Amino acid sequence: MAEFKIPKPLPLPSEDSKPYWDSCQRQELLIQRCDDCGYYWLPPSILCPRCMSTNFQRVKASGKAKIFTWEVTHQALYPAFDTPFHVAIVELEEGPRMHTNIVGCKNEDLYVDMPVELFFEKVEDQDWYLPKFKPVES
Amino acid sequence: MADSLKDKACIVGIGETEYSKNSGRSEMRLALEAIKAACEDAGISPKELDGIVRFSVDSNQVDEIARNFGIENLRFFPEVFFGGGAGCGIVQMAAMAVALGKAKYVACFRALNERSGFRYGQMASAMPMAGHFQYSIPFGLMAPGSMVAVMAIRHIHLYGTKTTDLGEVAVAFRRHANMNPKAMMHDRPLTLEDHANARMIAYPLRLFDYCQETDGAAALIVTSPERAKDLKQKPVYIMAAEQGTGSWIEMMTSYQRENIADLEEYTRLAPHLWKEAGIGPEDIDCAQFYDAFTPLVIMQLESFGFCKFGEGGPFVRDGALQIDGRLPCNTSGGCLSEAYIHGVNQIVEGVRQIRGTSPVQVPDCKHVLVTAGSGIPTGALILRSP
Ligand SMILES: [Zn+2]
Repeated sequence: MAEFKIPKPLPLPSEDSKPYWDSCQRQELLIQRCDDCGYYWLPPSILCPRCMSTNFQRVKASGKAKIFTWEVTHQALYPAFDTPFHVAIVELEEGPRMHTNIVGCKNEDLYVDMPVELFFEKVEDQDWYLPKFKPVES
Repeated sequence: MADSLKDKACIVGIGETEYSKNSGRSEMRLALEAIKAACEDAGISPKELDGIVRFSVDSNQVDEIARNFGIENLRFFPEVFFGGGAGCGIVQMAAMAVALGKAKYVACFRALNERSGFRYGQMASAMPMAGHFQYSIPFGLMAPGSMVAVMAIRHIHLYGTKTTDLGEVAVAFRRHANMNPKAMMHDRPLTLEDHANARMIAYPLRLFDYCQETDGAAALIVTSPERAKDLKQKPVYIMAAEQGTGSWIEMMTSYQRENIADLEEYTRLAPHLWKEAGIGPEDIDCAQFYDAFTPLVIMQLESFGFCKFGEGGPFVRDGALQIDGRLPCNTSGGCLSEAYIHGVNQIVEGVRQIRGTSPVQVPDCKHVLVTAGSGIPTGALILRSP
C-alpha cells in the first residue's frame, strides 16, 4: 500500500487574487505597479496602497531578489512539510516582499541579504506552480 | 465631552479558573466560573452586570452568558478582534462604556480550552488558504512561533541580539512562575543552560521561547470610580487604555512594513498611552508584557521606550526582568510560564500588583503597564493605585 502523504496546502484564490495566481501557473510573477505614483506592491490588492489609485498594471517582476529574513521550522504540528524546512521572506528588486522557499540551498547556508533569483516549482503531486527562488550563481 | 479616559473607570473585580492542560469542562462553564468569581471578588451579583465584552475569537456568545446568569438588561456587548490582540482592548471598551454612562458594571473575559481543544500552533490546519494566509501558508509558514522567528532573525541581524537574551526572558518569567502556585510551570525551574539546550522548534526559537497552551478562563469587572467606593476591593484605576495597529496589517505576518524588528503597533500606540496617563516608562513599577514568544518582550521594551531600539537584548541581561531586577516583568510567569489565556491573566496579575496581593509582589507598586497580543492589532493599559 502506498504511503499516504498529507497534501501541501494550496491557495484558494479570490476574485482579486486570481490574476496573480493565474500568472504563477503560466510561470510569470506579476506585481502591481501604480500608473499614477509608480509604486510597486504585493500582495495583490484593489487600490494602490500609497495613493489609492485604481489605475494600475500587473507587470512582470525581474525575478531578482535578496533574502530579507528566514526561519527554519524543526517541529511542525501540521505534517504536510517534512522537517526541518525553511521559509524565507525575499525582497524583490522592485521593492515588494514575498514568502517563498529557497531551493538548492541548505537551511544552514541561508543568510539575510543573500542574492536569489525567481523560478517556478511544481507542487508535488498537484497541478499547481508556486514562485520559488534559488541562490544566484556567482 | 470627556477628552480623556484617564481615571474614568476602575477594575474592581478579578476572577480566574485553575490553569491546566485539560479542564474537563466546556469553555462556557469556564467563562461563567471566571466571571462569577470576578463578581464575587468585586462584591456584586452577576445579575448586576449590564455590559459584557468578549474576544471575537472566544467561542462563548454574550446572549448565552447572560441567560446563564439571568441577566435581564444587558446594555453593552461589543467584541474585540485579532486574537490575543484583544486583551487590553476589551478593558478599553468597558472603560469607555462606564465613563460615558452606557453601563454600570462591565465584565471582560476570555475562556478557552486551548490545549485540550483547538491548539493555535495548529492554526494552519484550520485556516482557509484565503486572505493574506494564501501567500504564506503554501510555503510552510504556518505556526505563530515561525511567524515570530522571522522577526527575531531581523532583530538579531540588525542589532546583534543574542539567543541568550531570549533565554534571560524565559528564565525571568519562569522564576516568577516558580513563586506563583497557580502557574502551570510552578514546579519546573529553568536555567539559561536549560534554555540553550532545549530542542529547536523554529530557528532561532527553542522550546522555552514558546508560551504555554492552556485550558482556563480569566475575567475582570470594570465600573466607575463612584460605584467602586461601595465595593469590596480597593479600586485599580485605568490611567490609560489604547488600541493600535501598524502599517501593512496582517494577522502575524505584516512583513511588508519597513522594519519588522520593531513591533510597530506598540511603537505607534505608546505615545498616546503615555500622553493619556501623564507618566512615562520611568514611572512604571512593573510591566506585564504579552509574551507568546520571548523575542516579543525584547521588542516591546524598545517600542514602549524602556530602552532605545536595538537595545532590548542588552536591557534584559543579568536578570533585569526578574522580581529584584530593574524592571520586574510578567510577575505571575506570563504567557510563557503561568498560562496562555490570551493575556487576560496578565491583566489580572496587573490588578493584583496594584492591590499588593501578588504572590510575586513588587514592593510599593503604583503603576503597571499591561500589553496585549504582539504582531497583530493590539492594545495596552496603564493601571494605577488609588
Ligand atoms: Zn499610487
